[in-house]
Amino acid sequence: MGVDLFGALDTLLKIETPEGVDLDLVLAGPGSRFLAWFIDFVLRLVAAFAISIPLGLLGGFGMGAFLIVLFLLEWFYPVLFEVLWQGTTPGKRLLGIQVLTTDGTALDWGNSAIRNLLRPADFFPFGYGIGLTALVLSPRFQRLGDLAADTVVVYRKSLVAKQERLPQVVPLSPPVPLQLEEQRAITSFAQRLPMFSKERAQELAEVIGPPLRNRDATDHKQDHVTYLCRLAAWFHGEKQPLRQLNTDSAVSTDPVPVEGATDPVPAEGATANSNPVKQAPPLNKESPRSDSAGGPSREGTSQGEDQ
Amino acid sequence: MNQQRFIELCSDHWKAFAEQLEALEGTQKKGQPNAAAFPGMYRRICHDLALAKQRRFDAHLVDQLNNLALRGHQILYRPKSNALKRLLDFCREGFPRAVRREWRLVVFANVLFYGAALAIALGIQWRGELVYAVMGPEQVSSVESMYDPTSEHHLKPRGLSSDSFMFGFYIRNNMTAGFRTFAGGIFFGVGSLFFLLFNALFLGAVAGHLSAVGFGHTLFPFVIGHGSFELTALVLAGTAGMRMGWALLAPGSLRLGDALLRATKLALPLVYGSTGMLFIAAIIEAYWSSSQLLPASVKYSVGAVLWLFVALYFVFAGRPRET
Repeated sequence: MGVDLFGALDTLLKIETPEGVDLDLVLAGPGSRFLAWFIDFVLRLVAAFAISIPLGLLGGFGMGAFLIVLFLLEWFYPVLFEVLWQGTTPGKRLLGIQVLTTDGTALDWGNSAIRNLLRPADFFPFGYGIGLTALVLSPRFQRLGDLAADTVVVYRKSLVAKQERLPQVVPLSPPVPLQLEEQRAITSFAQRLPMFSKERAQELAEVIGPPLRNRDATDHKQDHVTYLCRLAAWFHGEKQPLRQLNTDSAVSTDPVPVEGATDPVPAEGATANSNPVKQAPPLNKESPRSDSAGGPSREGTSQGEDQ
Repeated sequence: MNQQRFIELCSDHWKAFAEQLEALEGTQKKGQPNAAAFPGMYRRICHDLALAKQRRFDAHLVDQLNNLALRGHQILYRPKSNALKRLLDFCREGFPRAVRREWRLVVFANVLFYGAALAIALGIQWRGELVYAVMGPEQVSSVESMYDPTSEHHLKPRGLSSDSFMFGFYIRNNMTAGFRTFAGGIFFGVGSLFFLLFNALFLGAVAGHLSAVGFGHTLFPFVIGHGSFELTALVLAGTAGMRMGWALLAPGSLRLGDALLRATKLALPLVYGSTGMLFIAAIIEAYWSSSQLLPASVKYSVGAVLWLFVALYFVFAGRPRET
């Protein structure tokens, strides 16, 4: 529904679960995979070298055992780690990536065996040429081994966005009902305010500010930026004490003007455009478009925080 | 409801679920306390995530829920394992049935392999210089010296430690060759075909040439012991690769990717079995085949028995009993 903001990102993998919700994962590209492989390669070299020293003292047995160790390091090091260590090898763990099947579950022996047995094919003709080509051309960054084993490589702690704080202003309900995407846009603007320069913030606020304020019968003596921040605070729904409905009716404007951002006077109600639904108790906001449809006056607090 | 209210109502449950995840991720055991409640908790997390996404709540909240749900998903749908039973079932019936299922490709690979080997071996009997079409003169002379009964390396027997070295060598060499033969199959089967043919010609040339120069009685007792396992394993690895390649050439009514996935699932048992057989072959080759304590007749008879065993295994093992 609506605009999928992530649809434009190539590297997002959406997994449909049987429970009906989509899980989002970020695919790992050739750079991080190559680095992980390289770290593993160096580790294996070091391990082989380290174990050759004690084995060298054991004569024929030692050398035979060493050859077996080399074989195991080459073919089974990745399989063992991927199955027993949540899809990661030491190199992958350092880079923060892991191997999963395309339906989001962990690998079992068969999958891991296939994807690692096909490494010589991916390595052909040299330096993982075919593998890199397949990786770059496939929609999910899969090399031949991944395609044959139905696996993908993703970032582990993917997508934990930083918690953004809202500026601390008195919430204000919007003059017209706004759709979810529009609410999100205003909220994102307010959250990213520290990143903008003053001029830039003004510039952005002038895009949406004037049309909204033209519909607002009350003249809030604030600049557009603060106005939008107040709307954002409203959308976010900070903790506010339940306040009984005051004297505003469905169509009249609230006669109490608001002076400044920290004014404890209750925020205005909506203007003539509001519908009577706003008289309902404020905590029942189930329908998607009624979040912004004004509502009864609220005691403004200066909370701007999440959680 | 708005985001604040949502967080107030649900954050206790999220904390409890995260704790449950910690407990379950640390171990594969079932029978954890409250494991019975886990699916219900997980469904509720999924519901919360769907709600948060639909209502366009903050990205960090959605991401936290997404990560919780992902971990829950991986715990709930993780594969079961009972390794020993699966291994025994595989040896008893899984492997021979898988081979019989692909019998057409198996027959084709065998005919190709032994046909090529026989062709060049016989060709060398007729025109000795044919061996140089397959390998260079240095290689020919090194092979000759390996099997020359008068060479000094035959006059003193190999010790146990040297046998063990050869064991390691055979494991590495043969299994790597088997894996590469399989992996080549992804290139529409051509890679596997190439490896199979190459090995067939090489081995056939060695056999033919050594027979032609009269070293046959050194070579054949040596190879007959492990040959049944090693050659069959090699042919099966090639078959597995060609099965993968065949899916790419003739996906039937499936999409190309799906046909490949299905084919690798069918081909993988052959690779496992081939690896097991190469392991056995390496044991035989390292510790038995080159032993000079036993007369040739014993080696020939044991070798024949092993060949018979392999043939009977693939034809009869794992068939359902008539009741």
